[in-house]
Amino acid sequence: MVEYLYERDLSQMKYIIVTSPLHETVLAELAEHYGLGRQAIRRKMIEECDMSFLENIPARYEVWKAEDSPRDPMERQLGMRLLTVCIPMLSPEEMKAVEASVRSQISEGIPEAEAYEAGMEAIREMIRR
Amino acid sequence: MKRTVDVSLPIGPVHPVFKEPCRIKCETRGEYVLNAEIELGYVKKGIERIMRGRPWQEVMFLAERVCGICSVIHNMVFIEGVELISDISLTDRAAYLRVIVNELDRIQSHLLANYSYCYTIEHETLAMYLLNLRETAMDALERLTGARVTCSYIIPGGVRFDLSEADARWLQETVDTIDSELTRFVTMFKTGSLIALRSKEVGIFTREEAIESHAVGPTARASGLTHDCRLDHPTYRRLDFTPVVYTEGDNYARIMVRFDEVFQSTALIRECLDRLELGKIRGGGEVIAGTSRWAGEAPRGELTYQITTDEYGRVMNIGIRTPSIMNIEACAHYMIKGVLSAADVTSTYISSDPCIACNER
Amino acid sequence: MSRLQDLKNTVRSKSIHVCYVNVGSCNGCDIEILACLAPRYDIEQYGIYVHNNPREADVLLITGAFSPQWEDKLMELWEKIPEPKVAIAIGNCPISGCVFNREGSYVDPPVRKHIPIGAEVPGCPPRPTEILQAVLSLAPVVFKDYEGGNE
Ligand code: SF4
Repeated sequence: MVEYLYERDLSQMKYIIVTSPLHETVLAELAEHYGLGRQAIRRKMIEECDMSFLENIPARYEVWKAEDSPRDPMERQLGMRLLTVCIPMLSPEEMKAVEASVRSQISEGIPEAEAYEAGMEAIREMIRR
Repeated sequence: MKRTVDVSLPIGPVHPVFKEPCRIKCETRGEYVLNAEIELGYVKKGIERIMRGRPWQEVMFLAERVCGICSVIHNMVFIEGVELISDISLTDRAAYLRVIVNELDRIQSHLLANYSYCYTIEHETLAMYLLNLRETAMDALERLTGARVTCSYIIPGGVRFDLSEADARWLQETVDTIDSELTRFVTMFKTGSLIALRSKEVGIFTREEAIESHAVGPTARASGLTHDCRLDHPTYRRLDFTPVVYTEGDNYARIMVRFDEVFQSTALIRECLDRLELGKIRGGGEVIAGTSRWAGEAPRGELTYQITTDEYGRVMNIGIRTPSIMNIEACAHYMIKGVLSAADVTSTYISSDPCIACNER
Repeated sequence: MSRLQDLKNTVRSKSIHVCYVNVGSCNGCDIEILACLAPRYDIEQYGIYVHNNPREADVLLITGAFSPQWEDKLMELWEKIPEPKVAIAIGNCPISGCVFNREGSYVDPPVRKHIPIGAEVPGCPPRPTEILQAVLSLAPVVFKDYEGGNE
């Protein structure tokens, strides 16, 4: 990225945005689904998104939820599109790696639930980082 | 990720074309804009926080001051949310009066938006015409509600003031004036070669992108989405109306949607005036505890209020999602990206009718 | 000297450049300032030109209740404006914080704490004519007999 001549630390303002009532609802759902603390998710969001994006998170989350299915169970479980396109907290490459490893585990005969759990763990790792 | 970036170009926070402070940070290669980011936070007031724990009588005025440009719709959606919780019914006359005031507000807001656009592309003549026409709409608003901006006309169970016979006739004439004047200006806009150069195929926003970023209002309708919250509104459903839709998704389409919606609004006002029958303008009721989620179509798009009240009529929790949140995001990440010159950045930005005060609350 | 001074006064009172800045308003006051531009009020007939560029402004119109992001920026902006200059607070927001001055909000009114304010126009929002009148009556008083570098 480019360096700007005058730049303030915006994390305080960004934090204010992600604590609004609508964001709280989304964060609660995400935190429960991924088994992460809200603060960890907030931190990752603040790092990755600009301010207008942060404001739009509840709407984008709704779009993801309403996306016409039959949604494949893997998307519902891991939220690949959610985390890379709708709320871009992770880069597509990182997500691809997770997806590939989960798929290979499943094809190797490891039970789906276990494979998903491993995928979730990887995602958790990346968000905490 | 490695990109060749020639210039990083910050625009704002105080810039001649912006009505409100915000900072657009563009990364450019030559004149071509690779990427844009919007920095906000200049008008953060924390309205949702102040609202919590206050009686609805107070929150009503705060809701109006979320955005001064479209204050009527904020008032309307909040009150309708409260009515939904408490099951307060509405007389016919009041329902139509609400629609009239709301449509006047829409006319006023759309004219202002198109004024800003014309001003940004340096067509000052047309801009001034539009701004002057807006004063006519403001007069109508003032005559009906008693104030130009922040009029708090709508209250639970009805509206504040009645419309007299003479005022109704005057309003009819005013609406006709707006129609005939605007027809002239729209022809100017359609045939101006400068305008076509600066607006057609600039800031393209496709249908898929609109769905992904949840764009709403004229911005989405210019990209082929038909979504309009007025279709779900009980009073509007009684009136005859179909959303204006364009499919080009460029600056020109977005401005034309707004122009067409002004004509639509005048038609709606006329229809309401025809249907207006004498009767009460206020009912009664009591605000009780409950939760509701209610959306209305603001000039800029879908506006959602999520309200929780307690048995004393206090607002315990409130979430506001204003249309500008979605539209500004869409504008920054889809429209501005890929415009061919830095001069188009500002005009594209203005074409999505951004309202920072809404966005930040 | 005095004839020159008279000439200067006349010229200055017929050419007032205005810049407006929103430091956390609801937009209500901003659009009323914009409405002043409309041919109905025609702000330019009085020689007032709305530029929105601080570097060539004489009068700074301030709307809004001062949000934290402006802490350093408003002062910077104020210093960019060449002398003689004056700031006018438009609306209740910069004067008292209006409805936003409650416990738990992020704003920090009044604006007069942060930069010197020459006049205040109350109202929520004030009418365009009131804004116009404030600018017209204040500017000549401030710019009268101004000599740069004297102070
Ligand atoms: S004084 Fe009133 S209208 Fe003006 S910015 Fe403040 S709240 Fe809005």
